[in-house]
Amino acid sequence: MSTDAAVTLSGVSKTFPSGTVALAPVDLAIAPGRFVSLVGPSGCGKSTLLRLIADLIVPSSGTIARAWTSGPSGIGFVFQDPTLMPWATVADNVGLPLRIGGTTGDVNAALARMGLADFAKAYPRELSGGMRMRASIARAIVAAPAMLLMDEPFAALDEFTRFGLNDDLLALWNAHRWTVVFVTHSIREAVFLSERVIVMSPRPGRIVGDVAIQFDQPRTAALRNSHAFVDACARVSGLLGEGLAA
Amino acid sequence: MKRLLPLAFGLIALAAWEAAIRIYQVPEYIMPSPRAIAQAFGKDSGDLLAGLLVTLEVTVAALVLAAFTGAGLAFLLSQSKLAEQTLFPYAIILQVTPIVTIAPFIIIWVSNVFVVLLILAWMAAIFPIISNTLLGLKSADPNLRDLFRLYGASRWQTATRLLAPSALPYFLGGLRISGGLALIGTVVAEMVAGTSGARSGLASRLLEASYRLELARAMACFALLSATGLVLYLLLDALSNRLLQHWHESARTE
Ligand SMILES: Nc1ncnc2c1ncn2[C@@H]1O[C@H](COP(=O)(O)OP(=O)(O)OP(=O)(O)O)[C@@H](O)[C@H]1O
Ligand SMILES: [Mg+2]
Repeated sequence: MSTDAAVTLSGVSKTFPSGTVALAPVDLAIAPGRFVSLVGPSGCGKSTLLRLIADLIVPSSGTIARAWTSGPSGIGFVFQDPTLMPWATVADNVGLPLRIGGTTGDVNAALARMGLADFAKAYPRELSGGMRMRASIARAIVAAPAMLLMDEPFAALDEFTRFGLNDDLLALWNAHRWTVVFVTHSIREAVFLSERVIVMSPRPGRIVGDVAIQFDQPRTAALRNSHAFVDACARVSGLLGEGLAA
Repeated sequence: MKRLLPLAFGLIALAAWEAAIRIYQVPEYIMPSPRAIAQAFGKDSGDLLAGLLVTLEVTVAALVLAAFTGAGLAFLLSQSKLAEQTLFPYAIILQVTPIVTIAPFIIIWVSNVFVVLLILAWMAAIFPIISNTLLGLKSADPNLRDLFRLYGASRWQTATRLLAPSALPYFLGGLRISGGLALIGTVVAEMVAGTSGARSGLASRLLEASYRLELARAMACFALLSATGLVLYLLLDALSNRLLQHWHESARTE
């Protein structure tokens, strides 16, 4: 395992106090600047893995080496739910990491990138579900973190909006080349976005596949209809199936 | 319409009361008619309003004190499980003890009447604020807590930007209950402490009037106190809606 990885997990497992084994020992290294997706059946420990990487929970065994500094410029996290502060405007929500970290960043630019420029002064309850999620993403990227962890950010959206946001996210990543770990249930989304797709088995989660996706950047919508794309999806799908059968 | 209905009901009840007193010719020292009560109020309105002002001073001071000390205590209890487990039972004891039973001791220990009343009304008012605020502090969204931790927020930043706003709706709910309790506490304290003279509150005046069988005057005091409680509630309700209007479900406009 390379020592200059953004994050290195060695024999990391997680058993919750309730006795649930959420994650079997996992070895995983993610190089800096990569876009990596994590796919696996519901309950297999994807969120748990993300929270371990973020240092929100401690592993039951194994070690995790992180290359980023703590604080908003080190890490951004998009939770499965938007997780906005209901009492604060969209602009205040998005600016939270900057205010906490005492760092500078452009709230308006982050809002504009997510198509929320006109909603800076709105409160979360005045937004649609998809807009809330975009606000949550704007918050995660506002301080330009070295590591961006995203937990099914688009799961609740319709396919059309989802494709749009996929394109936006990819453009953003191409511009900044942050390290991204992206959890999703959608194989097509994983293949479209990532350079590498990690496939997990049902609970307790193990890594059963590690697929390199080598399409050129920038990727366009046309890619979704190509044979190579469909083949890559089939490979990931096959690994998922094997994991389920095992 | 929703506001007119209770009003209409009240007027009908008053009319029925007035009629019954006249038909059966009930003497005023047993049961005064609404008209007699209104007249009693008209005669000494200056005096009664002065009494109300004294009562209000204590009530408002006790409520403000309870709001600050209650929220502060709740915050301290929320910071440590050990502190909560050790001290919260005493808050409950404070709540379940009838304050009348503590009054004689406070009266012996404290010479200033205003302070005696303040302490007793404060004791009556503080519990809902402590328990509600504590509940609110503990109900902060766990994902938001994680986010603050992830960003390396200081204890102060977490307290002011996350915990305080999360607890605000609960605190305001407690405050609405405590407003009424502070008034009740003040009234009970006045009656027990037996204040008298120009600086006496409305409750002591009510008691005095009833001793002298001036029931119309006593009931005027009573009506004034009820109205005060109602106004206090409406004011706190308006405050709550104002502070929460943009974001909390309880303050939804439509
Ligand atoms: N705090 C917790 N305490 C106890 N068990 C937990 C906790 N968090 C997660 N689990 C358990 O760990 C397992 C993995 O949960 P996790 O949230 O990581 O799954 P997931 O892969 O993200 O699922 P989904 O795709 O449905 O979001 C589940 O069985 C869950 O019940
Ligand atoms: Mg999950």
